[in-house]
Amino acid sequence: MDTQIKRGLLDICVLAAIKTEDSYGYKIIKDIKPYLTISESTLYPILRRLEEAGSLTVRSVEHSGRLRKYYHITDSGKKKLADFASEWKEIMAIYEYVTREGGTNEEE
Amino acid sequence: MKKNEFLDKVKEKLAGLSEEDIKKAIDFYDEAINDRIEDGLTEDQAVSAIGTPEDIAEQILMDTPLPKLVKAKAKPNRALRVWEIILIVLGFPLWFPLLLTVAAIGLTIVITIFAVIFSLFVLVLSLAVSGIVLLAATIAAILFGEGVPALLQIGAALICIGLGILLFIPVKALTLWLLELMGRFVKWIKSLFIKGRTKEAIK
Repeated sequence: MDTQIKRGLLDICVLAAIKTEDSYGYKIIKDIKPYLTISESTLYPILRRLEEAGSLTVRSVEHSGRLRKYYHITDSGKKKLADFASEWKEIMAIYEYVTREGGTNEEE
Repeated sequence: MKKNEFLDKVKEKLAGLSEEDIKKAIDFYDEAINDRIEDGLTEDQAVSAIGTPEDIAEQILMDTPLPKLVKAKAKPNRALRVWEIILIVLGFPLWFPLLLTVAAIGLTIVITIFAVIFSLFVLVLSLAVSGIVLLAATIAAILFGEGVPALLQIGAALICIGLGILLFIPVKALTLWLLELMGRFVKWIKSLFIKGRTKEAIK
């Protein structure tokens, strides 16, 4: 996929991965995998950026003798997802315009 | 590669960033490797699945704000030797003006860009204001029964307002373009710093 488009979508996918329940790094990667390939080195800056922007919060939970960071979506993060969903209609319209079969929209 | 060796390498590449930033990154990759091992991979497999330390450090550095990056770059990885300190002190009359010049040039570029944006907006605003003033003058001229000046003034008013509206759109587009250009300029400077770092690391 085009890197510019992918970059914008990754933030959204990470937020979507923690939308219903808190999640941790490795699980987020596994959850997104069917849709977008993402590595830890890409995920880390995204999580940090989203945390700084106030879209998610982090808490450490003990897991088999070590700490694991769980990410929790905030209201502003949920708003980002909602904004994306509403923008998507415009993107779908563009998709239809780009893939239309022959001729112009104006019927003769 | 073993986990600790891998994490040490990442730490080395991030040297200069704040302790907190480094610890956060190391904790994250430590957890990532542990989770993969828990998932059934061996330690070596888990480490290689994460990526190379170079790649990881570059992603983190590219995402670090420029001032922080400059600070990190300026901080040496090891203690300075005596002769290095002497050279820095003796070289002060040489490197200080140079540094000042570079900073001044950077500042000049930024100020120039903003001055251009500012003057364009002033132009649009002044056109709009003169248009409104001329319209008021037109009404005054009509009230005093001076037909010819009124006609002249309303013509000028419409030209001013028309130009103002017409210019607003390209001025706005130009502003956005200049701001984006500046963003790319900053990114380019950043990449210069990061390239310098990784080259050093390879040495």
